[in-house]
Amino acid sequence: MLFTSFPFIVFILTFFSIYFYLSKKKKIIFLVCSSFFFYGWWDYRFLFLLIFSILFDFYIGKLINNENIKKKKKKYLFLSIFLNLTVLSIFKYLNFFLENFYYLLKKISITNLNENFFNIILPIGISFYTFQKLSYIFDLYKNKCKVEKNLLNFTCYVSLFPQLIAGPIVRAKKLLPQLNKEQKPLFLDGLRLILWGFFLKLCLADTLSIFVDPCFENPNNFGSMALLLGSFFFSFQIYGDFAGYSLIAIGLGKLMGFDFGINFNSPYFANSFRDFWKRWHISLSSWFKDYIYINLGGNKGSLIKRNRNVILTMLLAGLWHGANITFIIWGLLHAVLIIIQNLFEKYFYLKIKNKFFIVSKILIIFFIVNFLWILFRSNNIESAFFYIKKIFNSEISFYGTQPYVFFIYKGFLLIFLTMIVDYFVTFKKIKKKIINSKLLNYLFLLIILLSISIFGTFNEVPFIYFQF
Amino acid sequence: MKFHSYISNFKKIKIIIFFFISFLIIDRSISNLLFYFTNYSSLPHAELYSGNGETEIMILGNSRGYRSFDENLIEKKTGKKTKNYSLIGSSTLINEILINDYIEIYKNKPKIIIFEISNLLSDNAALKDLRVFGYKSKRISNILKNDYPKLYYSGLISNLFNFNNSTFFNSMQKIFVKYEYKGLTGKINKINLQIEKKTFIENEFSNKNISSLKRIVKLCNEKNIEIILVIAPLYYEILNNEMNEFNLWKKNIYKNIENIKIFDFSSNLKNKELFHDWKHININGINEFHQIFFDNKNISNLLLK
Repeated sequence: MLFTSFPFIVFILTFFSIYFYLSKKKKIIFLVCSSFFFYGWWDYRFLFLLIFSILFDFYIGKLINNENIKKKKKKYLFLSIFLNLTVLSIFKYLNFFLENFYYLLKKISITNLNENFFNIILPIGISFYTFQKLSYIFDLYKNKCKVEKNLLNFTCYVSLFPQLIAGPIVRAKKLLPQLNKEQKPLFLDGLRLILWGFFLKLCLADTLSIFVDPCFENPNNFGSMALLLGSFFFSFQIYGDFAGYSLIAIGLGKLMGFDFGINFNSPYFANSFRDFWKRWHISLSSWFKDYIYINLGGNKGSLIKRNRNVILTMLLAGLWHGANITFIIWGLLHAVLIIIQNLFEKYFYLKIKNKFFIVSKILIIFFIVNFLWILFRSNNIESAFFYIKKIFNSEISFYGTQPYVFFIYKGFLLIFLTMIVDYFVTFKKIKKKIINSKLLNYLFLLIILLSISIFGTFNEVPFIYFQF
Repeated sequence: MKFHSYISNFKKIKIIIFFFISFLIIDRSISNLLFYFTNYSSLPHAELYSGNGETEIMILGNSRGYRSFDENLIEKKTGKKTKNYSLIGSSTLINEILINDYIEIYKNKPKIIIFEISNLLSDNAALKDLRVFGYKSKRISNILKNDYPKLYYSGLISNLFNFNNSTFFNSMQKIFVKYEYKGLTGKINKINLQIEKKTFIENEFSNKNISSLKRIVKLCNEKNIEIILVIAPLYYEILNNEMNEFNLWKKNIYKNIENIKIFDFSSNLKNKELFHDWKHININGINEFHQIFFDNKNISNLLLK
């Protein structure tokens, strides 16, 4: 059930027409049932996996809480990590390892096995809910959050449907206390976020995908400049797609009275690679920072140790996106860039507050990030290299763009509009003015509704992050 | 307490009603304004529906019709006003709508119609691009209601939604930039015969389109309009690959449309340099094709009559 599909509209209208009339306890029961229905819509079989993993971590949480001996606590922690990561690895990475192992055996002529002998389907949202549960276990172990004694509340925390499939990954210490109290719905805030999310997805991301998809599916049919444009558009497609999903999820949460936090903060206005990761997929990058980077030692210790921590963290962040060399290299390159920038700032840092210098920095960061998205979008490493090679090695040509001229113009217009909004939200603090004025809120809603009506692409394109 | 909650709910309902009324008013006002602007556009379809598109020779078809015929070259050669009203991806049924709407709007008829018939294999999806003219054409809105009810009813809720298509945005651009016919540039790339899907295979739209073509031919006979049915050039390497299907497809048309000749130029251009892709010729291809087209005595007799 896509957020942008007709069944979801029916689902959400039915949901809210019942939800608001229920008592606090009944609301939680209803939320859990609705979330299971929402999840089971894709594949009901994986519902059992979700329920099992919830039950397991609920009891492990209780065991950690009841245990006073640190060694035993640690044992339970590792048991949870082991099981969660094993399940995740089986579904997400086993195919990748088996394929490569098979390839190796084939190379040395050991096997004649059929290539499709092992084909595992990835349960949707598994990476997100696994990380959400792990954050609960880690925080509990470090006494950073209280144990949840009510199974229903814990189930609701893990399976809450707006953020179950593609995040944001909400920490237990943030969401569980909200589940224990009656929350006041924030209608205007929720609607504003939902509509802006729909604008980003339906107008920006889905329009750009019309040109981006053929570029990456068959780069042979396009000239060098067309491919460069394809990668530029993909940067905004993935932003619109994922930030759009996050905003819809956060907005739905607000309508229920929950605060999930923010997941994107105008990432393409970042003025360093570190800054980019503070603005992009914030719930995941802060997860890696808190539970991996800091546990590895963070920015303490020798230069080599610090850089090792950055590399390991970014490598895992890349791998989290999927079992593909492209994601690993993408993560590694981001790590290298962060390290280079750290070194540069340490030894050659100039405190220039000149606007031109800052804008240049933002543009350089954007173009490098944009270039690295080619790796992220390509199906495999060969395709990525072919794409990059074609940009640089072939003659300058816009060949292949002609059938897409309309979508290219429309794409530029929508990118411009999105960046204007992002700019005002980031630098001009216009968000506060809108939040504080009901009239401005309604005006914003009207403008967005009308814009979606005239600019939206209604092709039911799946969200990119569903595959992770 | 109850009274207070009653007042608060009443206030909320009032706000919601006010919001939706504002939405409808703004939506309708902007839509009418935008539609009014299309009257000043130089885009062929906008001209057709605004009453500025009168012509003597009308070219119709799908993308192959559009990419194969340069209205300026034909106008120069014949001395007759020519307009290419081909619509990318359009079916025969959509082209039939264009002819009927033309006759209704101008209370007149074109003298000659050049009709590229590859659209016999197309569906009505291009109608999505013509939605903006549903304001003026009941034929467009009726087929839209029938084939794409979701789009039709969404357009009723928000009239602005009818403007959400390339034709509208193109027509806006053509207010400021004068429309000029432009052929495709670039030449055909590598061809992989194994991945090319076969085109000339009867599909679920074929029968509807054949019936539509029959009606068009009948209308032209009644109104005394000369109609020239054409198959524009195709790149031979791919055409050879599906020659059997192509011949069967042609045979089926002849079976249904009697007493009218189809001018088949499908195999007339052999040079790879003349094609943008295997179904569409490029600028060089257009020049070459027009020469062959006018060299055909039957055609030149009809056009220069």
